[in-house]
Amino acid sequence: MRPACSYRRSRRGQILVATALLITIVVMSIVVSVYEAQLFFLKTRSIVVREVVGSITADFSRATAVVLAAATRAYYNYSRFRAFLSRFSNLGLSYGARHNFTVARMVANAYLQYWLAATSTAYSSYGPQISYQIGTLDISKYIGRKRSVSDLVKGYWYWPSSASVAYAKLRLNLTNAGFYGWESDVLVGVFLTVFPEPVKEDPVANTTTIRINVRVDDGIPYSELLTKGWIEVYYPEKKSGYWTGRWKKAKIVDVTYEGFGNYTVTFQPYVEELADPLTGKNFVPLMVVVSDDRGIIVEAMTYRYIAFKVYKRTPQTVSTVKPSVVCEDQYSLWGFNGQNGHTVVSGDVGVYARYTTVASLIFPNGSTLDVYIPRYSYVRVVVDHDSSRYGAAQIIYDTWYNGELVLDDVHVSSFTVNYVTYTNVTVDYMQLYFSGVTWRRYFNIVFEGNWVDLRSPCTYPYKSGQWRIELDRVSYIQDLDIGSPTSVNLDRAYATYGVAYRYVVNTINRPAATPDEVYTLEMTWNYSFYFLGHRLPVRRGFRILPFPFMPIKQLRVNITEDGTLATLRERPIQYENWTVVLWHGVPVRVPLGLADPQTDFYGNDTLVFQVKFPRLDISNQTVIIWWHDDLDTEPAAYPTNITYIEDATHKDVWHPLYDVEFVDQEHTTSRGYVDYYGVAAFVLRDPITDYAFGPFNIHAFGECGSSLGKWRPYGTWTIYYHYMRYSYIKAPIRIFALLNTSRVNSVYSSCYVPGGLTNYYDTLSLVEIINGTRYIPVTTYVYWKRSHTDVGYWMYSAMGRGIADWFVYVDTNNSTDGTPFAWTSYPPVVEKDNPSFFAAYWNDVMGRAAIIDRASVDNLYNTGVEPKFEVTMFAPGGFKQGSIETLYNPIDYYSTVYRGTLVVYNGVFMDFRPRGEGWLNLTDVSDYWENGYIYAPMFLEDYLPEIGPP
Amino acid sequence: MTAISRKRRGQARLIELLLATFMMVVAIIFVMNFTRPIKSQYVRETSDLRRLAYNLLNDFAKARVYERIIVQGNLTGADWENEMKLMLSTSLPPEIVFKMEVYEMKINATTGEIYFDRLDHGRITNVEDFDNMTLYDAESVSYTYVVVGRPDSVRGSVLYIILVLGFGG
Repeated sequence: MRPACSYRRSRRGQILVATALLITIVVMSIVVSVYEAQLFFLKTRSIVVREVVGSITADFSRATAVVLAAATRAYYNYSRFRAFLSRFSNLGLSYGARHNFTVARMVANAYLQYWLAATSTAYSSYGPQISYQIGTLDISKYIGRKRSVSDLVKGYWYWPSSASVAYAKLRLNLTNAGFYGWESDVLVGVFLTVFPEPVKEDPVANTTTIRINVRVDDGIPYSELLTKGWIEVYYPEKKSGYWTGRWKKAKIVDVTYEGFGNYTVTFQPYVEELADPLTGKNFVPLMVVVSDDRGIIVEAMTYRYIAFKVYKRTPQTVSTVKPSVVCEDQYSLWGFNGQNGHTVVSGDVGVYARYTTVASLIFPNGSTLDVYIPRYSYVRVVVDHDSSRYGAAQIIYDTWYNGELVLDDVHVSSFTVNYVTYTNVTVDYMQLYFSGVTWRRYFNIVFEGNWVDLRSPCTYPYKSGQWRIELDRVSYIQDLDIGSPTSVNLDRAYATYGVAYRYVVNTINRPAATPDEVYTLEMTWNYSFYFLGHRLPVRRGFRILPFPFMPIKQLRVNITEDGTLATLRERPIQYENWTVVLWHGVPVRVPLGLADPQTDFYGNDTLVFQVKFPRLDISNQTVIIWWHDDLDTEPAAYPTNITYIEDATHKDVWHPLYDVEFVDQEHTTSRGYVDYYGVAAFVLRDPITDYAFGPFNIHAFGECGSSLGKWRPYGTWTIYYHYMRYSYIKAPIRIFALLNTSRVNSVYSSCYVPGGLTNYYDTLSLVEIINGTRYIPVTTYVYWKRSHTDVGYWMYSAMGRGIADWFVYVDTNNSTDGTPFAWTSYPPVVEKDNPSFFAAYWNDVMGRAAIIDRASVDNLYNTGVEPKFEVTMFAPGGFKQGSIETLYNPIDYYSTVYRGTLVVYNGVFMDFRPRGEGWLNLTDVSDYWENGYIYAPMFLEDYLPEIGPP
Repeated sequence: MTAISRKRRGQARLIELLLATFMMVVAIIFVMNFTRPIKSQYVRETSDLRRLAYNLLNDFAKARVYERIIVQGNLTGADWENEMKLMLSTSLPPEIVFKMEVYEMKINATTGEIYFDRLDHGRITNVEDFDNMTLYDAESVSYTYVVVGRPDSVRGSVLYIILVLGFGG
C-alpha cells in the first residue's frame, strides 16, 4: 500500500506542477501580448500625434509672436500701427495705454486665452488639454548684459543692444490619443545690436554706413530683413550747427547682408561722428528700428546717456554800499566835475520873456518846430532830463546877473508859451532873456557816477568811488554842461540844500559751506535750461546730445555732489509739462502740471532736477541724463519732504521749514487767523506749531478807507502735486500752485464785493514749493484791463504778524540806505526810496528775504511812478504787523495805473537763519539779514549758472 | 469507498484540464483582439494621410502661404480658392483627392463663445463632387493658424482649416 500510495501522490504532484506551469505561460503570454498591443497602438497613432503637437506648438509660437508684435508696435508708435493695434482695443490695448507694458501683457494673456479656447475647439477630436505657463528665461547671452524675461512679454530698448522677447512654456495633453505631459519652451523675439561706431562716413557723398546684427527667437540669425522685415534709421535734425531736438528718418541707400545676422546699412545724410564725453569712444547719434516679418519691433540707440556740466557763477563775496556824507551845505554855490555816471535834471521854471526869441523843439518822432516867443510872453518849462536816456545837454539859468535861460538839447516834459503847451519834447536850443521869474523857479540836479572832482563848497582828496550828488531847489546855474551822457561839469549853482555822498563798500565773504545754494533746473526736450524762469546760458560751441524719442518714465538723472565723478549718483528727477501761452499778447511760460510719464519726451515736456553746490569751492557739477532699457520701467519715485494736504481746513503744502497754506475762493479762511474772503494769497505757517506768520500777498492796489491794499487777486489756486496715471507717486521735487484769475476783491469786509470785480486786472501767478530748498519762487503777471487811480500800488506785500523785529532793503545804488532798522511804533509806515532786488525782515532766531530779479526791478521802475520799499508797523486792529512791501506807487498821493499796463515780477521768498552751517555766524541781530543776502546772487540774472561740456 | 474516490479524482483531473484549456482559449482570444487589428492596411494608410496633411499644412504655414493666398485673397477679392486648389494640387500626389475648408475663428467678446466664420465656398477641391464621391480611404485633419505676417489689418486673426485627403474609389 505504501509504495502504491507514494507513486500516485508523485504523479498527482507532476500534474499540478504542469498545470501551474501552463497557467504561468499563458498569463505571461497574455501580458506580453497586451504590451505588444499597446506598443502597436501607440505606433500607429503616434505619427499623427507628433504632427498635431507640432502644429499646436507652432501656432502657439505664432500667437505669442502676434502679442509681442502688438506690445512692441504699440510702444513704438501706436498711431502708425493703428490698423493692427485696434484689433486688440477690445482687450484693452488703447492709445492711452500705448506705453504701458503691463497693459500690453494683460492684453497678451487675454489673447492667448482666446487662442487656447480656439485651438481647443479646433482640435477637440484629440481631446486636447492645452495651457501655458509663464516662466523666467535668462536672455543675457543674447544681449550681452544681465537681463531676463519673466512675465510673458518683455522689451529692452534704447541701448545699442536691444531686444523684444516673449517667453512661455506650452503644456499639452491629447487625451483621446493617450498622449500626456508634453512641454515645450516657446521663445520668440528679435534681438538688435547696433554698433555705435560707423563703418564708413562720406561727407562728400553725404552718406553714413553702420553695421547692425539682427537675430530672432533662439538667437537664430535673421536673414530676411530685406525681403520680409524692415529697418528704419533716424538721425538728429541739425540747424545752424545745433541739434533741434527732432529726429528725422534717414534715407537708406544700401543694405548688405553679410551672414550670421550682420548687415551693413548705408544711409543719407552724413551724420557727424562724436566722442563719448565719458569714455572717449566714437559713435554716431542714431536710433535704429527693426521689424521682423511677424511684426515684432525693436529699437536701439547708439548711446545711453547725455552728459553735461552745470557751472556755478555766483561770486565768492557779496557787497552792499553804505552812503557816507562827504559834503553837505545849505544856501551855497556848488561846483564839481563828474564822470562815468549820469545826470538827472528836473525842474519847473516859469519866466516872462524880455525880448522876442525862438525856441527850436524836437518832437519824439524827429520832427522839429521853431516856436516864436514874443516879447513879454509867459514861458514855462518843466525839465525832465536824464542824460542816460537823452544824452548831452547844457543849461544856463542866470537869475543873478542877466536874467538868462539857455536850454540846449534839454528834454522837457512840457514846454508852454502863452498857454500853448508842447509835451515830451527836446528843446534843441533856446536862449531867452527874462524880466521876471514866477513862483516856479527851481531845478533839482542829481549826479551819480564813479568819479567826482568836488570843487565847492568843499573838496575831497579822493575822486574815484561811487558818488551821488544831490542839489535841491537850485535857483541859479551859471553853467551846467552835460558834455556827454556820462560826464558833467557844473560851474556855480546855488542850491538851497546840497549833499555829496561817497559810498563805502561793505564786502561780505560768503561762508565756505553753502548747502542752500541749490538750483532747481528745468531742462526741455530741445535743450533749453531754465532756472526760476530764466534761460541759462550755454557755453559757446557746446552742444548737448539729442534726447532719444522715448517715454518720459524711462529717464533718470545722475548728478555729482562734490564736483568729482566719485559722487555721481542717481538723484531725484521730476517730469513736468510746460507750455508757452500768449497772455494778453505776451508769451508766458506756464506749467500745465506734472507730465504724463507714459508720453514720449517731446514738445512741452520738461525734466526737473536739482544741482547743489554745498561748498564755496565747488565750481561745477556733472549731470548725466540716462535712460532705463526696460520698457516696464515705472516713473521714478523718490522720498520727498513736501506733501500736499487738502481737507476741510487745509489747502497746504507741507515743507520742513514752513507750511504753506493757500487761501483762495475754495479755502477762504486761514486756520486760526484771518478770513481772506476768497482773495488768493499764501500764508506761511510754523511747521510744528502751525502758527500763521501772515500772508504773502501777491499783488494789491489802492486803499480801503485807511486800510492798505484794497484790490487783490481773487480766484482759486490749482495745485499740481502728482503724476497722471501714477497718483501714488508724489512730486519729488516741487509742488506748483497756479492762479489764473480775471477778478479782484478785497480782504476788508467794508470793501468786499460778492463775486469780485472784473474791471481791474487779470492775474497769472505761479508759486512753487521746492523740496530741499529754502526758497519759494513766486512769478506773477498782472494785466490792467481798465485805468484806475488810487493811492498805493503793491508789487507784493509779505505780512509779518509781529514776528519780525528788524527790516532792511537794498536800493538801486546797492545801498541799504538807512536800513536796517528795528520795529518802531512811529511812524506807522516807513517808506524808503528806490527799492531794488532785496528786502528782508527777521528776529533773533529766523528771517525771511524777498528777492526779485533784475527784470522785475526794471519793471518796477517802468511801471511805477515812484517805487518804494515799505514797512507797515501795524495790522488792522492795532496789532503789531511788521511787513515788508515793495510798491510801484507810493501811498502818499493818488496815481493812475493805465489800461494795458503789464506788470511782471519774478522772485523768491527765502528763509534764513542767523547762524549755523551754511550761514555766517553773526552776533549782532542787526546784521542777520546778511545771511539772506549771501544767497541772493543765485536768483539774479547776472549769476545764472552756465551749461557746458562735462 | 476506495473505488468511488478514484473515480472522483479522475473527474477532478478532467475539470482541471478543461479549466486550463478554457483559460488558454480565453487568453488567446483576448490577446488576439489586441494584437491583430482587423484592418491593419487601413490603419497604416490613414495615418500616412494624416501625416501628409499635417506636414503639408505646416509647410504652408512656414511659407506664409495662408497670408499670401487666403488673407490677401479675402482682402483683394481675388479668386483665392482657385489659387489654394492649385497650391494643394501641385503639392499632393495625383492619386490623392482633397478638399479644404477655411474658417476664421472669432470670439464673442461678451459671451466668450467661439464661432466660425467660413471664408471659402466649397471650391477648394480637386474633384467635381467631393461630398458624394466614394472614397476608398480618407482622413480629415483640423488645423489652426494664427496670421502672423502682413498685412497689419489681419495680423492676429486665427484661421481654422479642415483638410480632407483620400483615395478616390
